[in-house]
Amino acid sequence: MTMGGFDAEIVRDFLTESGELINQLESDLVVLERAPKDEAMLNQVFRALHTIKGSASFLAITPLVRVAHAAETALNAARAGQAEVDRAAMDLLLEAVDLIKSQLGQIEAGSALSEAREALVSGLVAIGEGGAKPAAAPVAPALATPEPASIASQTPAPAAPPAPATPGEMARTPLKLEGGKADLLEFLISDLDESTAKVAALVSGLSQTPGQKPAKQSCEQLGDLGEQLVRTAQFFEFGPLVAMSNAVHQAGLQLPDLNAEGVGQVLPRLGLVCRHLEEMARGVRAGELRSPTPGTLLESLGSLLHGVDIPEDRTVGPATPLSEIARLEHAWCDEQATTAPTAATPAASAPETVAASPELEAPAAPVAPAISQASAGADHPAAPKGEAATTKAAATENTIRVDVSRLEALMNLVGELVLQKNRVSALTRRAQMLECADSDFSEAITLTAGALDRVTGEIQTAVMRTRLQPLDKLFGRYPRLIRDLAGKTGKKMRLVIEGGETEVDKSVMEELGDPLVHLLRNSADHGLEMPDERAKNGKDETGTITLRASHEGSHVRVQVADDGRGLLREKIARKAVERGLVTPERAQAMSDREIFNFIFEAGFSTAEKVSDLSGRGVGMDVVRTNIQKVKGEIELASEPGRGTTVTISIPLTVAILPAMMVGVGKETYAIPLTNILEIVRPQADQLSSIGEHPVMRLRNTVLPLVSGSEVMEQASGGEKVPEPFAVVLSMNDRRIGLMVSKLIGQQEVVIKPLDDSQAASKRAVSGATVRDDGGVSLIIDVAELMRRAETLHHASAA
Amino acid sequence: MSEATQTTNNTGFAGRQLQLVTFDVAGEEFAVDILAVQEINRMMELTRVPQSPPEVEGVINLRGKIIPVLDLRKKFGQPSAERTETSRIVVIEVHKRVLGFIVDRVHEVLRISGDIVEPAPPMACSIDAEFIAGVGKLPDRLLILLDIDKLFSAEAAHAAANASKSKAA
Repeated sequence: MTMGGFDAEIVRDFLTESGELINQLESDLVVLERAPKDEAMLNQVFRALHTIKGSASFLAITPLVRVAHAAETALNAARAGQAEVDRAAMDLLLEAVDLIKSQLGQIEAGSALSEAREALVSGLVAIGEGGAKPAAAPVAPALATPEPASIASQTPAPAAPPAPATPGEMARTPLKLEGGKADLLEFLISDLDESTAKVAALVSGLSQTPGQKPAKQSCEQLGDLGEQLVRTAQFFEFGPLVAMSNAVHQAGLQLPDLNAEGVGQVLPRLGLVCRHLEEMARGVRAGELRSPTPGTLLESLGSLLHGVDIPEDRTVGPATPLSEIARLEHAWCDEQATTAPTAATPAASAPETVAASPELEAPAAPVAPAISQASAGADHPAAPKGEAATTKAAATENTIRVDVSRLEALMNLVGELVLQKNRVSALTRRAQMLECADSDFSEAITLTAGALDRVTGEIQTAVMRTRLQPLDKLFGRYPRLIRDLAGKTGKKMRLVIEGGETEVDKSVMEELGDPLVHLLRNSADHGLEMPDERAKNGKDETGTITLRASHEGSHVRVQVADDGRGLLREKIARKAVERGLVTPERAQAMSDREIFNFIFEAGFSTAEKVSDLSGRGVGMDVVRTNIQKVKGEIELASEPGRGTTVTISIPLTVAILPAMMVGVGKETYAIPLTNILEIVRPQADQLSSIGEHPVMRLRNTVLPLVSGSEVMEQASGGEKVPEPFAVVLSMNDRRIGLMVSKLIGQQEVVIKPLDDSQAASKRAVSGATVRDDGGVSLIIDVAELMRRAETLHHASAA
Repeated sequence: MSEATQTTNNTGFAGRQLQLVTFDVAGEEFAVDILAVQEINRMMELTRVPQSPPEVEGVINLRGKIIPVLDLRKKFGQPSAERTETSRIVVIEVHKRVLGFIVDRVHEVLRISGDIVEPAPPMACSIDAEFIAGVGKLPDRLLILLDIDKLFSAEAAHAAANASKSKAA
């Protein structure tokens, strides 16, 4: 599907924004299910959906608008208390959310959009009508709008009843929309009607209490409604409506800050604005764009809202009839005919209206900036006030989106800056050693170098921090998962999330996603018992799964704990013996922890039945592999009858790795510190070989050895590189000794990716890092090293 | 240069002004479009990467980015030579990848008319005609215009590696 005519950037923004909203929406819905009466949450959910729908209709994405509108209808009824968000309703709403999600994906991929199934739309609409349950409403008409379908068709329906009391001073043009937009007309009309009615209600509510400060909440609602109206109006590309709606929006923002006098002037005028809006809505419904003459109405409102006085002859009182206001502002009003007698000079309005007519000639001309222009025209410092309004609006949005690649580029440059800084420090030390006559000079250098050091360090930390995100972003997906799992398994369960505010690097977050889904599924499917079994054992029928995150030094710890049946040692041990992973005798002697660790082996599953959810034995080893990929560790603890806890510990950032620097021949390599058990200097009598392969005896165990220069393919020209040290590496309870020439020391290194298209095969190097002197050192991939050594040693061990 | 790549076998350069960087590899003079060249550096210490294709000499640190560096001599199936004072690393961007290649010497930046560029005669020089975009006939010498898109595409790198192996065999 091509988003014909629209800038790719607009579509991308839409996708990003809607993507975030829909994710939030999903987790909010799950919260809502537990507390269906939570009004704030209902409103939040409704608003998110409404925003998505609004943007989608602007882009004329019909299938998406259709499902969003149906869901919105249902939610609206729930807000009004006419419908209840029960489980069935929630199923439909979540289905709608899923559909929108996949539609967003399809837009991104440029493929055709899937349509909502009829039962989904009709079901949601049925909820919206507060009527029968979805099941009982098989095929209600797809759209709930009472308006005849003729409007949706391409040609406007001139047959629609003309607006009552049509005055002369109003331009009319038939409403013409492009194909895609015409389909959406019905939604937009009902939106327009609804919002207009609400604005009118709010304004009249506010007018009930003259002299009092307007209620803040009402003003906020007014501002929101105005904003929605502006969006709808933009969809119709109908300038006058945009201008009017914008006035409502601005009024909502500014009203709370006005003095009583100002409010007294603004509210009656808003009443007139409502009349105009209603008339325009009526016009759209009748298939035409009606532009009632605004006269000086918007100008006056603009001035008033920015605290600028208006000409005295335009001041009105709370009881001034609308027709009188209209006369003062030379604006259109449908009450003119009836109230004309009270107006002092009814005839006077006519010529002036003619004067305003040039505006009428071009009803679609953008009139949106009317308000700001008006305030700028007055010789009052209105501009700063306008700015203040902008700042206020911006206060809610104090974040910006930045392309990750830019942050990465920044990070790279900072890394380079650190290197240069290190060189300066080294040069400074040398300068001090030189017998420099000018000691002041040398001291100045030292001070400057010190300051540079500090600043660079701070920049580095600051840049790192830009990549950190709270885990809530990830955890937010899981309540939905648990809800669905509860539905599928027939178990009762709840998810408790703790420490969601813990921040981790973006890439770490990405790597954590899948493993956590696996673990949560395991807990829900295998860990927790059925409600009756739980009741029998004296437990709460509802099982609890806890997802807990916390910082621990430079690591972040994430725990998935359930209060289910726990792991059975015997079962796992039996399975391990069956699979030949361990001898029965050995299994006897192993600790619980060692036994439990077998479930991380590939293809290991003790579940009696393979379910849709898990139990195929592909889960846990994938979990472990993913975690190890980001240099993390995973541990499992379990107590029969009390539950299982899996603890994942991963570095805060994957960009920095604590490593041991070693020398092999002329090169320097970095080895991840997490994999190093110890470093020994083998004596001659400890070394021997099995077959062709060197080994060493290390405290009653035999440690296979590999030569660093061999693994790293250093062409030594026949000479053997002396390698006196053995670095004992361990991973997944396997050990190996890597022989190296030199130990340089421990260091935190910044990981840089290697250009992988140059790799002929999988290599024992996971990346590279830049040394203090600007040279490059490779980082040894311990997992790959083990694999190589194992294939080598396998023959000799057998 | 990218335009030139589509026209390997005719003088697609006709009527255009070309701005080229010229350099020596194993006694022959080559040229690449100046727009493809990011920078030219003096030789620096290379870090060898195990399990790499033979023409990849190693990696260097280019302002915080690790880039592979190839030896053009090996790429052309020539024996590698000692690095000298004049050896340079030419850094280019091709297929959105940044990489460097070692040349024996960098000569100059040259403007020539595309009219004097002719298709590469097969078997005329030491390298595969596939990698040659054309031959520039200067009054006093010949200039081989390299097709870097083909020369440094990952597939070509492997193919070349295999080819040089089979040639050696």
